[in-house]
Amino acid sequence: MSLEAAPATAEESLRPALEAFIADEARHPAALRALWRLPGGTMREAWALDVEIAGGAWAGLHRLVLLADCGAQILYSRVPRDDELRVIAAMHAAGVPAPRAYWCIPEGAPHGLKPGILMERVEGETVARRLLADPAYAAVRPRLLDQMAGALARMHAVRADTLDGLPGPAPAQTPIAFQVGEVEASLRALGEPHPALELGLRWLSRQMPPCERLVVVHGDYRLGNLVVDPHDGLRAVLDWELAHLGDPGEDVGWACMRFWRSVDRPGAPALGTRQRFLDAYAAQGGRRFDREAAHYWDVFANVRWAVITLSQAHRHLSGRERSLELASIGRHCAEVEWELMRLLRDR
Amino acid sequence: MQDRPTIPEALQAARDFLAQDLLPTVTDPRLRYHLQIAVNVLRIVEREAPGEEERLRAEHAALRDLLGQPPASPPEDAAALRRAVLEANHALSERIRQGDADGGPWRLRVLAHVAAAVDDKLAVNNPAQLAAFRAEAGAESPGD
Repeated sequence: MSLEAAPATAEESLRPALEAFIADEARHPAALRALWRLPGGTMREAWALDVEIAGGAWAGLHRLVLLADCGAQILYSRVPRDDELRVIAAMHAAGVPAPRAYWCIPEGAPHGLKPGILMERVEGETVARRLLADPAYAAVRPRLLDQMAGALARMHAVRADTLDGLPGPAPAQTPIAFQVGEVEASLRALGEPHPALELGLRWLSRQMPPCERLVVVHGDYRLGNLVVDPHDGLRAVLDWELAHLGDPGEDVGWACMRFWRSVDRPGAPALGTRQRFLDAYAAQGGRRFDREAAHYWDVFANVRWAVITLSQAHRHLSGRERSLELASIGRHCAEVEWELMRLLRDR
Repeated sequence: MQDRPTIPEALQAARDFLAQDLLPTVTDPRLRYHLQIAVNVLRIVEREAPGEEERLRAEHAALRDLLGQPPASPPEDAAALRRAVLEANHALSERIRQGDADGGPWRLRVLAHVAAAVDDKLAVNNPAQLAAFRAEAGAESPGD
């Protein structure tokens, strides 16, 4: 993401292009009532829009979000955006709290729009720091961990074979071998020596637990990707672009990883203990993860996050996307490696 | 020898300007966020610059010892020193990939070396986080 705020001209050119695109999709005239840039996100630029559609099946006012690609590639072959939209739609239909999917803007759209996706805008808070500390969320905080676990269990109950086309294990490959292999390939692509991460990857490849079932893995399931309402609690799970097939442990370990601050640490109380999350996940239909399995996926989460921090810095260093923010993320690798070495001690 | 300000002194002057003079005048949340990142990056480099060569020489010696290479004086030239440490870390990574550190006494030596190297990196990048890790390691862990 560049230092400059989005210039007004970006908004001015986006407005008629979006109206034309939506009118084409809805087959009725569309008028934008509001359009503004949303903060955050190093992967895509996000815009909020209110659009009035004049007739047909879509008649009425729609509050939407546009996620437009900015050419980022961090880890995994990111799912093509039409597949991402299909995942969101399938999850929404299965009762997982996911936004309602609208339209996919393909490459080379006729209106000069950048490729991206349009979906329902679910109102609420997404900033983890506020969810953990703001008095406005005190009422929902005690049940948020259970809701997080429940939504994940429902997501993992969606039949993986209904969503073909997602990245996943090769026919002769176990899900975990695929998942570890993706992280390893991302590290290799950087060409840098990182002995701590080599120790982590080696341990992961030698300790693979059996995988009971292939599921749709969200890929970035953490507090910062949830929309939370001060009264209802969890309302939506966002950011499905890293979705893939694999062992559900990846999402479980990621959700509980220390750097997302969802679960209690000594001296840093949060939404509840990791054990409570694991129990709530199992009680709501998810697999039972024992201490050893939870440890395995904690190691996995830290290796994966460490590789992502390095990959983010490389997006800047490659010259493709000059960004102070991306560059600075590279120096977060050390704290993740520290946690990893703690987890590997005595193992 | 260069005239003063030294590297840390010059960096601190730039950082103080950004944090104390410029930041209070900036209202755009995105710009504020990026300005805070810039301030932090300068702070990291202020900690990193003094003693960087000594740390690289120490890492070079420790890696040679770990890899069973005879002691050798490290390259004098700073760029050559960096290259030598990078190559030694490549060699260590390759040994780990081949399974040499899967068990036994060498595993313990590798774990100790890598943990110390990560400590050194974190002391530069985020000493507060390092202190928090150490405080936590001394405490019970009810969350686990």
